Amino acid sequence: MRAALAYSPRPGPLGGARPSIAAVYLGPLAVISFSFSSPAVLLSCGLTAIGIAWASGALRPALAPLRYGVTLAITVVVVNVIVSQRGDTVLVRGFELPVIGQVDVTLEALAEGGILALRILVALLVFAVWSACVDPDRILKAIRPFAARSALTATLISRLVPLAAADSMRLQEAASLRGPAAAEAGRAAIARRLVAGALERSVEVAATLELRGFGLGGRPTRVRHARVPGEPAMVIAGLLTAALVIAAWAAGAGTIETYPLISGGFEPETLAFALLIPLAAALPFLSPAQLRRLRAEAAR
Amino acid sequence: MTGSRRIAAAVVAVATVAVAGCGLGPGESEEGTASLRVTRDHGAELIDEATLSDPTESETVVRFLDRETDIETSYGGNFVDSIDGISSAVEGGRSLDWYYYVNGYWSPIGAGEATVHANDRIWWDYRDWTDSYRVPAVVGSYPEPFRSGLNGTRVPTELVCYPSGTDGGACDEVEASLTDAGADLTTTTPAQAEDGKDTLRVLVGDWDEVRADRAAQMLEGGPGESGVFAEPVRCDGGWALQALSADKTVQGTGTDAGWIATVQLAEDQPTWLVSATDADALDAAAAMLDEETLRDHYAVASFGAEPVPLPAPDPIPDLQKVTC
Repeated sequence: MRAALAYSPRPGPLGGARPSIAAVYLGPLAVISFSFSSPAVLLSCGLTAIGIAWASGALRPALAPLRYGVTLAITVVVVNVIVSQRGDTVLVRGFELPVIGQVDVTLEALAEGGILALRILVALLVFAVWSACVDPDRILKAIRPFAARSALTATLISRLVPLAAADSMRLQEAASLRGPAAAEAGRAAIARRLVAGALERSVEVAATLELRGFGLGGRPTRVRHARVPGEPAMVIAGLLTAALVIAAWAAGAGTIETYPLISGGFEPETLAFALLIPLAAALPFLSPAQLRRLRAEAAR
Repeated sequence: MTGSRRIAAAVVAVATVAVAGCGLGPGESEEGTASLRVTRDHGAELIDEATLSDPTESETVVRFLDRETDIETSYGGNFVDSIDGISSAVEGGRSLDWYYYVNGYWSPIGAGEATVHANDRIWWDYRDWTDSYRVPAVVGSYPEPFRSGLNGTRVPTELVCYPSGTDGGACDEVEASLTDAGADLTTTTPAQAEDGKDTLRVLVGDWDEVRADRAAQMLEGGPGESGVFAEPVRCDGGWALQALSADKTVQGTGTDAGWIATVQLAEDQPTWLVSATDADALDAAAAMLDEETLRDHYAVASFGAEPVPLPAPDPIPDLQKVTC
């Protein structure tokens, strides 16, 4: 059965890590993408996420959501330029638009839109790496002791939705193979058959769950996963990145002012912060075994 | 024409309409100096002030403010939420917000759309608006609007002299002040006066005479109707002026009061009132028509001593309180 998300088992410490460890490792990067506005910091965070994806053999699935992300990012820039009437450096004045009225395009509004767009792309990248490298089943198992029904529902959805999609494709293929003389099978007919099939399958799933004792309401046991060799380094890297975030907040680094004029965003402390993010994140991949694996990967 | 070509043609047409009349860069500058004042509590406390030489075509009220102060905005910069950390708020059931005036006119459009012209006087004030949301015009930017008008267009001024104003010399004093201010001035009598649709009117006379004017009569409706925190009331067969605070508390009532205030009837130009409870106090009212006395005030009154800003402070100095 196909997984609902981009996940598949991957090499490297992140691919084998427990979800909690992966959260400690990737969480600070997500925090950076939402909390800092300096383009240097956001770019560094984005490149770090790409680096982690490459080192974990997940570059393609991590970059895949960017197709939609770029469209969203461009929309954000355009909307901000049109809507925001702040900023001192007027590039185009008196732009007349229906409903909105007169619009001035300023460099600062463009920069603000660009930063918002970059933030979206970086956040998207970090979560895409998480989706591609962290096993969703392990996440659901980790949730089960605290929210058994929610975990079960999510597990069923993660299996049944892709199954319904596959069913739909099979039905469409079957309809097209009936030959040119056959009456056309409309979307409504396929949807009716799909719903009927899904209901049958639901009854089967419910019966199976009943047989396995899910209806008894017993407390699920906590599943303990074996430790993976790279996990301590991931925790250290995550804590180090978190410490960098706190230090940057305390120093007031990592921010840029866009209005009324663009200022800041590239001070020495901000650049140092930006430089240290990938260095901290690289820690789990610096063991001799990992380096050998990465060299072999690069050679391929 | 295929569908995609039609869409492309439509996009090109919309883009052509959009860019028509627009230009690159900030545009040409206008010779003159615009000024900015930021105050709070109806002008009681000055927070910031600045000037801007030769504003360009693309200079807006919010850009000017943004450059001089630390602001937070919403609606793309059209609504100013906070200036120098002072934000829109509700305190003790009273609503406080930022309002701005250009040359004494309350601006009905967003600050991001209001263009700054040479010699404009822009005034931002953080005030309690619970009892008077709309104060359509203020006296605090004098000699504006008489000198420059609004949106870079001068507005003609009509000085309407009532008999009490002409007899006592108050009208002459007001005329001299307006001429010095650079007003495009015509002096007339109430019988010959035009309506205030396209003309700034200045009515000079005691209240018994001036109250015959429809716009002036709004003053008797209180701050909610006139935007002025003072109300003429009947007193022993004559008139007295009740000076009100921002929460409409009566701070004092005087029978020898003169005042300068502005009211606005519907979409007309503002009407300035230089009036008094009686002819004797009218000279004192006329004497207040100068830049120093009016600066940063919504309206001013005199109770026989120093000019008092309206809304009135508590207590009003040297006021001989009367009970009507």
